[in-house]
Amino acid sequence: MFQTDESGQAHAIEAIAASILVLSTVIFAIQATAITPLTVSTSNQHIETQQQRMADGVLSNAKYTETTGETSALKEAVLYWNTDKKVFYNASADGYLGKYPDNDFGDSLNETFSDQRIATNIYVTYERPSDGSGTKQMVDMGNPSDNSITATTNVVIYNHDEVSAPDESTTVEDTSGYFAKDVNPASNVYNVVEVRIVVWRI
Amino acid sequence: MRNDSRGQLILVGGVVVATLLITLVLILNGVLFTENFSTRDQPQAIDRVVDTGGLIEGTASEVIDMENSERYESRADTAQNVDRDIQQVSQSLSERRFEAHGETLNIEVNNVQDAWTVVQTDEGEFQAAESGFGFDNVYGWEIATADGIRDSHTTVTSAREMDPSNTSEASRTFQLEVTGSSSDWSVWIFEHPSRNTIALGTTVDSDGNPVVECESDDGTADIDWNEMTIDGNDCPFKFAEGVGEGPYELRFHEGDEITGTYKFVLGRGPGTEIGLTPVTGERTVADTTKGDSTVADEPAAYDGVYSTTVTVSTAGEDLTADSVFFTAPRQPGNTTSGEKP
Repeated sequence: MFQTDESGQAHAIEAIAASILVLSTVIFAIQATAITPLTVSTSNQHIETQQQRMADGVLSNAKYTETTGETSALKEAVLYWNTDKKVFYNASADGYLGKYPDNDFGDSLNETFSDQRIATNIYVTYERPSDGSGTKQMVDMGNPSDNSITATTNVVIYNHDEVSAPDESTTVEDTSGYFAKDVNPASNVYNVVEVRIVVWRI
Repeated sequence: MRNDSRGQLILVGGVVVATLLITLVLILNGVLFTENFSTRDQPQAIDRVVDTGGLIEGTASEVIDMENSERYESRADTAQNVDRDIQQVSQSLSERRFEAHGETLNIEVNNVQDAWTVVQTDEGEFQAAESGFGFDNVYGWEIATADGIRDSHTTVTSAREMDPSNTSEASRTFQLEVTGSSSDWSVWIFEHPSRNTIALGTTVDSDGNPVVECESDDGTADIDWNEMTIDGNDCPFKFAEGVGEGPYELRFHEGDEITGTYKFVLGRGPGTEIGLTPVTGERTVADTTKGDSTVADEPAAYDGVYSTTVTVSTAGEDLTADSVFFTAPRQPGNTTSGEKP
């Protein structure tokens, strides 16, 4: 009887250990086999880092100019506004749907992301004169995935900056149709806007 | 049965060891991933500091240019406005940074160096202001002694044609001279002897004639002293090479041998002053900040800003950083201000 009891205990422990082993193996197998470019892993981190650098690079290139006094491509894009329709030039009320704007910044985005099958949403956040902030969407390509990354930079708009869309020949301070308003009329600084790019792999 | 039981225990032991190994692998994999992930956030905090620094430098440069172009006639107006504009940007960024990342951002203008913006806006000979002398046609004169010379341009509409068959042409040709603590430096501006172009030369040949080193595309010229170009063409020398430390004395010779316009932004500080006549001690440039009246084709000095020093302090969970940014737009390397930290 004693021997039989001992054998039963051993069987029970063996069964528990075996079940843990099988369970662990299944979990490990699931982790090992479900590797895609978007799987949460160190490899995916490298892809996200690569996308982060691409987005940062596009913003950096667009916000600096070769010649002093020249308007940067990023500022030109922020000022690419239809003051009558109160939308970005040739865009819908929700921005450019599934495409990039027809300016230097748009060309840069197209060259950087389109061939890589990477989608982009771009938001422009501005300060309100009273308090708080508002946001305009410049580019809308859908809902970002859980693995999307974000890059931001700021652009200073001055009173004398001209709205850059075709057929527009007014400065931001001389029109009421521009989306951002003058936050401090005593200053030459009209507004400081934040450009945010959200990037994800399609 | 005893042997069977022992075998079962060994088997169970083996299974337990295998389970432990797999668990260990899973845990280590998680640790590696967590380590990798946790180190990703730090560069983004650094990137924000770099981005803010770049924005502040660019903003300082743009507002200095904007305010200098207003040509205020009251001392320190430009400096106050530059400070106000940078503070406006600071306020906007600080609020946004705190909301987005919980970081405090403090941007403080530590110093604004005053300047004279000396201009001759209408085309004319490069003579001293008549009002200072009380008589006309003074063509060899000092513009100012300054703590730094930057953002300097000259447009030339005509200049004396240099005749290489003569000797000592350099003494009859327009000359811009900069003197520092070590030595002086000169550039001669003249019409090319055979081509209808404006030429620059910093050396003189054995006959005492200036040597052509670079030239314009046609009979007029746009000279950028910072980039040291004429009509965008590079010259083989730099502005004020080898003059040493400031203050710098800026002087014109033979101003009746050239016509055009010019602009110099000249830093103010200890030992600096607008040029004075040797005998009467009158100003050679109409200083509007002292109430002098101006004539369009004569030199006039307006209130200006030479440079700013701004400290950007960031404090957050990931990073604490203090960065100091000195901005003096388009300042050549040989005539720098003593204000630089």
